[in-house]
Amino acid sequence: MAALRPSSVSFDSSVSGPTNSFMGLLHKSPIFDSRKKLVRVGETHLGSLPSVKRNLVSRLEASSDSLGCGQHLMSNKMGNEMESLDKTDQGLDFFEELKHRFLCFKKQKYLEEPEHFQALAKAQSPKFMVIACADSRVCPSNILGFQPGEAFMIRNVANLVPPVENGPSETNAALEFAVNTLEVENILVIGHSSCAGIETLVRMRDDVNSSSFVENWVANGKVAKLRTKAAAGHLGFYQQCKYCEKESINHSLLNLLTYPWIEDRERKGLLSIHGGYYDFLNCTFEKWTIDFKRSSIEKEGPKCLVKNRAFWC
Amino acid sequence: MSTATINSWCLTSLSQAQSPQNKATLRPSISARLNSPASPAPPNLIQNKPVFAAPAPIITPTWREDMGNGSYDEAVEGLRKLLREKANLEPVAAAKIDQITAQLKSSDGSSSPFDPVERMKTGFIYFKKEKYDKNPALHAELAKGQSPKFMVFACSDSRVCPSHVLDFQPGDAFVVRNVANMVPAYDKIRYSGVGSAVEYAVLHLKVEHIVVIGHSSCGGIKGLMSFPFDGTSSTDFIEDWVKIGLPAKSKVVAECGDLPFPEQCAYCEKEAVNVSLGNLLSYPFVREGLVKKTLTLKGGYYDFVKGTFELWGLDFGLSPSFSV
Repeated sequence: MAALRPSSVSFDSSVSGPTNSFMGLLHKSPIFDSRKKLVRVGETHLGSLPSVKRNLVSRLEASSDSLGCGQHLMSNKMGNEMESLDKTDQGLDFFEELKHRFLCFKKQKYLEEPEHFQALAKAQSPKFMVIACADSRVCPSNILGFQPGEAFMIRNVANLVPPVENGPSETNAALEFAVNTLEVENILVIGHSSCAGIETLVRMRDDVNSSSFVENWVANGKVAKLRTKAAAGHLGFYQQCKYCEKESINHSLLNLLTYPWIEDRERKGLLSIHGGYYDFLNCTFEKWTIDFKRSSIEKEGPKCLVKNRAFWC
Repeated sequence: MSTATINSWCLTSLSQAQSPQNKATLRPSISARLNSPASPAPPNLIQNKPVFAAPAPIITPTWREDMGNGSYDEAVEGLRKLLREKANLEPVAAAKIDQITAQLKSSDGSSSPFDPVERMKTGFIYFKKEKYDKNPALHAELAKGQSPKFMVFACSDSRVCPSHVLDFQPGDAFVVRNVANMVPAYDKIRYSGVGSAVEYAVLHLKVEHIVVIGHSSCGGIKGLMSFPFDGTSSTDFIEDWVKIGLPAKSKVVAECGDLPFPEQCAYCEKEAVNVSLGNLLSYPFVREGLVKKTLTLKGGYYDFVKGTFELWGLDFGLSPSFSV
């Protein structure tokens, strides 16, 4: 087992990235001290915002100013400059990039609202719990603008919520914490278009035991797939996927109600459960709320009845 | 288990025994929460003592049915009325009310009740106008597919979203978030959730960096350090999940057991990241990526109390073999 041993490796920018070493040696690498070229490894961390010297590699120069955030990776998408980078520089580039990102956040958000962040540092009291897909395009902090402190968030493949009878998992551990400890008022399950996890679910064979992690996991949405095949099996594959993406959200919403402490709070009006669907092709967002009184989870067939549908575009 | 229930009592939570019918947006609580001797003291309080340090009986509010229905003005008035009936607490409570009122006013200018749908709609419209519509080329590319360079494991904590802390834009990072940012070891049956994310990111998206980011004041780690793990269980699922980090707890207790509990938690927050990095090595496709140098593993630690970020790397390699 690797031991945590900060090693005192020092290097400057002319030396190739962190030295390769044998199995599992953990070392701390220099970060966030852009004023010095020769940096000592150890307990270096960013204590306050230094005046940032431009020390970025060429692919980041698309930034319009020294702290130009949000645009720097556009150059990656456009120019595929990453491939042309020398491999030996990648170690340093990585740290530089993350440093740049963190400093952007610190300057534009953290230092702009010090009292708010001090209050948050003591406690969080988010009103939302959000379950979203791990897909890089659908972070709810971006698409719904959740700010630090607003939403307790689970992200997994295909934004699935397994029912209580499946036993412990990371999703229901987070649910338990959010509902029973943080006492959130809203749970929101957000699905999205072109979800590869749902596509795998629709595509995969149900009669064969899978050796793939993804297939094992998305099998949690099997009921949604059956309903999709029943209602939309005559449609093309991608239309079935779209149908299944929404059906899977509803299935997850119903699975939420299998947790007694969730159902209890819903019934008492302390908690609302919403579904959301983000279509990034057209940039639209659909939202609906479970109509608890009219929904049911009897054995004949779960029914997810909804109210307050909205469509934003 | 989290600092939340202890510290945000003034805003949201009541003692666990109570379940008012309707909670207003702002729910001033006046019940003192005492720590049981068995559990360690929570690392953070708004003040370093219980706010209502009355040795007398714990005050439990007598809630009327309609008490939670009104605006925060009515709620504060209700609190004041209750305190008039318990005059010995008035000076302490008055100071607290002023503090709460100031905090609430500064964070939310209006006193209208919180509308979650309106909040979401405002956020989405802002995203569409300021981000999506202003970057049509980027989003057209993303609509066809994603190719993020990063896979990030972060905690579900509302304060540590990587999109904020590391300024990730759409398309930058495939992000998994769970309690205490844990990565369990390879197990296709028990941990297919995390495993599927790692498999997809490494084999299909071909990410270049996996970063596991821990953070300060983590409720999950505090739970890991607090739960006895002696066969009893006080939660349905949380203990079962955070026990993934037990090797970190063992190391911290062995090496830093003499430090105060909050410092032990801070060490454990970082050590748990290392446990997760080690667990990532149990995935064959991760090992392969590391050996081929198409993948790197990094650990990170965001301290939102100090406003700092630490970053470190895990080196993995196979030394040249020789045979005799």
